[in-house]
Amino acid sequence: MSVDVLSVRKRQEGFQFVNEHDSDGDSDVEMSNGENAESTQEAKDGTIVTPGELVTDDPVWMRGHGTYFLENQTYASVAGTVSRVNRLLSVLPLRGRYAPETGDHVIGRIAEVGNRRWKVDIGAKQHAVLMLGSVNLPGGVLRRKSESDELQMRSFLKEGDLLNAEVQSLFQDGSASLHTRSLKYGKLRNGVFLHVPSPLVVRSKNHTHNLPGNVTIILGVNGFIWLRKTSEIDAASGSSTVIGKNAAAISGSKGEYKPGTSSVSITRLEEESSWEIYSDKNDHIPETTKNTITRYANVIKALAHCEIGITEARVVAAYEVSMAYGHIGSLIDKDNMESIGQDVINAEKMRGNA
Amino acid sequence: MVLSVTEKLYLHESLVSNPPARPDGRSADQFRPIEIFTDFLPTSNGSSKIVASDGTECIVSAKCKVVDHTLEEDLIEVDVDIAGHRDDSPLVQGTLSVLNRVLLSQIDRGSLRLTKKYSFKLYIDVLVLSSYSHPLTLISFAIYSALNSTLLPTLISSDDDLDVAELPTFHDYDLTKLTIKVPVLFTVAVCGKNVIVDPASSESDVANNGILVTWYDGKVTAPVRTLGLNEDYVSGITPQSLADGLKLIEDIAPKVVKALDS
Amino acid sequence: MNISDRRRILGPSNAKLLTFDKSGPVEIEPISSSSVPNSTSMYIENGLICNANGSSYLEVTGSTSEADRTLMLTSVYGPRPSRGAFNAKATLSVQFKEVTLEKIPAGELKELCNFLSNVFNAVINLERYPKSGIDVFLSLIHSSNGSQLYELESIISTCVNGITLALIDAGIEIFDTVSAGIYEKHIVAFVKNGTEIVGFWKGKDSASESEDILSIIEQCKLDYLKNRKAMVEYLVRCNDKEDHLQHEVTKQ
Repeated sequence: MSVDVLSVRKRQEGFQFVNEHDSDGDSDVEMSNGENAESTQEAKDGTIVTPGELVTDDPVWMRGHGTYFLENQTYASVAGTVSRVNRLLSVLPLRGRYAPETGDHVIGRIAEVGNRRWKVDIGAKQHAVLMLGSVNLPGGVLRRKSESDELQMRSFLKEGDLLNAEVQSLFQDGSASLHTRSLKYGKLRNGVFLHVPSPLVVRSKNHTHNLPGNVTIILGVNGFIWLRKTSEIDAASGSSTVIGKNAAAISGSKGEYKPGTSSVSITRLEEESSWEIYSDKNDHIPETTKNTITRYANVIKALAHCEIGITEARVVAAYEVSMAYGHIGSLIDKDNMESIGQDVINAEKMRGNA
Repeated sequence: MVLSVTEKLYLHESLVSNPPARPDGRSADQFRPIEIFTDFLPTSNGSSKIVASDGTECIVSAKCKVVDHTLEEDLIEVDVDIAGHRDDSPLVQGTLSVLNRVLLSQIDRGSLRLTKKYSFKLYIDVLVLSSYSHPLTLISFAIYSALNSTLLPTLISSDDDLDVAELPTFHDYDLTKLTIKVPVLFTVAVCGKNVIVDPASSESDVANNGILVTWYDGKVTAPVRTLGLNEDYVSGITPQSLADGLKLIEDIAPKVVKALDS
Repeated sequence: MNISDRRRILGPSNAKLLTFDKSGPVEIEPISSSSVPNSTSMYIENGLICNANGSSYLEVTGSTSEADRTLMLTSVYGPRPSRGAFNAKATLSVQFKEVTLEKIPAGELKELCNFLSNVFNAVINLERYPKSGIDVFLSLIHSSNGSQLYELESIISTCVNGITLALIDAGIEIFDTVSAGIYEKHIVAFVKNGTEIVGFWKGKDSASESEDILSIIEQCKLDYLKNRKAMVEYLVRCNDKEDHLQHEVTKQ
């Protein structure tokens, strides 16, 4: 079977979840049923607990998210891992919607254009807010926001547009306020979007990576991922970006839009904040780059399918593994996805042992 | 989900290039993988559940009833429920009407005949639990699998009951397999000069037009028609594209049917 | 108001009845090619409904016998402001109603409306009308076809032609004069002189099963060209007449 038109898996026996493994008696999921629960040891940091399970009976712990308190005992209210930070005890859910935190690099999609603000879908329980004052407008930092900006908000960002941004602050109700006041944030183009469960993306210092094959990936902490052709800015900034450093590299590339700015100025924001940052046009993307992007997208889906945390190293490793499959379309097959996931894990284990 | 302008441009540009570069790397004639479960509903005569890789899920149940076929005109009745869509929405009503018409006009009444007076009437209930792209292909695959796994009670009374005022009687536990040919419906998206089969939702959003093609008994049959898959990119297509679309289905439909049968 | 009449739907008290142009039909001979045997003839009349933005009345006599007739009244309202979420382009809605006997199943009508709105989504320059809606109402006055209760094929093609004329009458921007052609249960809506298809409908299996799809389309194209010619001729003649009348008025 090289390339099949349709791959069908058939199951006659029914689709109910069947626990095929015999329970060995000592399951790691200890239910807090009956009096013996009280004598059991507390759940350690990192152990997996299920809702209703006793986490601790020690009242010194402060109770964080995912727990509840009953008769001096702390129970888990979500299925997830126990996290202990100083005296704060919380359970981080394995699944669930993204919970924004200040400083997160996220990707969002405009859901609504409102009064001096955009509502942005970031996959959280509430839409995030992007104020008109939190974006760079064409014309640079010193430009004042005027009434006309309020009236033409849709010409900057409209419903459906994708952007990457940073969570600036959180409101009382847990919804996020975003800002794009940096060159690395802003409207996204020249690429494709894909979505993985947010717990699979690990928070790190840097979320923009240049991958081999002239492709740049933005791994949003909220599980939204953007794959695009590496632009000059991306290439200049390398994998870790400090905005001021790449300023000189940028100015040359944009010369055609603003003649006469060849001299290096202190802040590049003005030049960069031309209308181009809100452009709705794609650059020319060669066929090979598109194929590479598709392959990256498929291997990321494969990693997500196998519930493997997504990092730059793993994406590259999976990409290399996937080269064994000549036809990119064959990567959507479940068996192939699982074998890629297995290969990535194996390779990591090998490296760890070596 | 609304796509951004640049995403759509990117997709459209990729799909009209030669050969079409689909967002998940599939070739033009490749379907997304599906999983089929059959015969899991104990109270219906035949059932199937189908899960596509994008999370689209559809359950079909077939139940039978003995009716006097001289009185009942229609021996098949389909009901469609799509989660998230009102029963009177164009999508649900259109799907329902297409399915009813296809099954009634194509399926041979004789295969449901029980005696000279009575026939089985099939009630086919379709429940789409979640749908991310045009669900018609998947529904028809599910109906196909459900009807091909349908078991009907075995008749033990005589099949000549014209003069006998007696209802048919059935064996207590023996069941006979229903053998009928079931039509399969395909959706094809036309993007520029290319035709692609089984468009995902993002592909539908940038397709120039869609074609609904019915496949029954080894050939393309009615209804065949254009389907607008979106409102932004819909435009005219050349007669050649239409012919290409039909040709594509003619090429792959036997393979699809074989895959469903296996 | 009469209390016993409560159960009846009377409509709002300030409802306006359909008013017809008092001036009466512009005297234009029905454009028909009935001299040629085995072909359809069409009678066209635009602007009958005054309180619509555009309307058309179409009478199509079938090819086989005089008894096959399809009478269709199309009215277009809009573009008018639409409420709710922001829309960068106009939204089109097509409603179909049988005014006399309701013979066509409701599901089939929904399919038909979907099909027609798809066809015209591709044809109307919707970008020109942001934040607005265009509503098309089709009233089937009569349809008969010998043995059958109704003939969906001729209804569909009449709908396509009728909507095009009504849109032209309403002055809504369209990319081309769409028209439909029928051949052996196949209906094809063409634009651009028959080089592009905006709608294809095959509802039933026809006798010419073995025939190649391209040759079927070619046959439909011939019918399309004929229909479009009749429509264009009517529009031209109408304009001439109006010019003529206006000229007379200014002379007085």
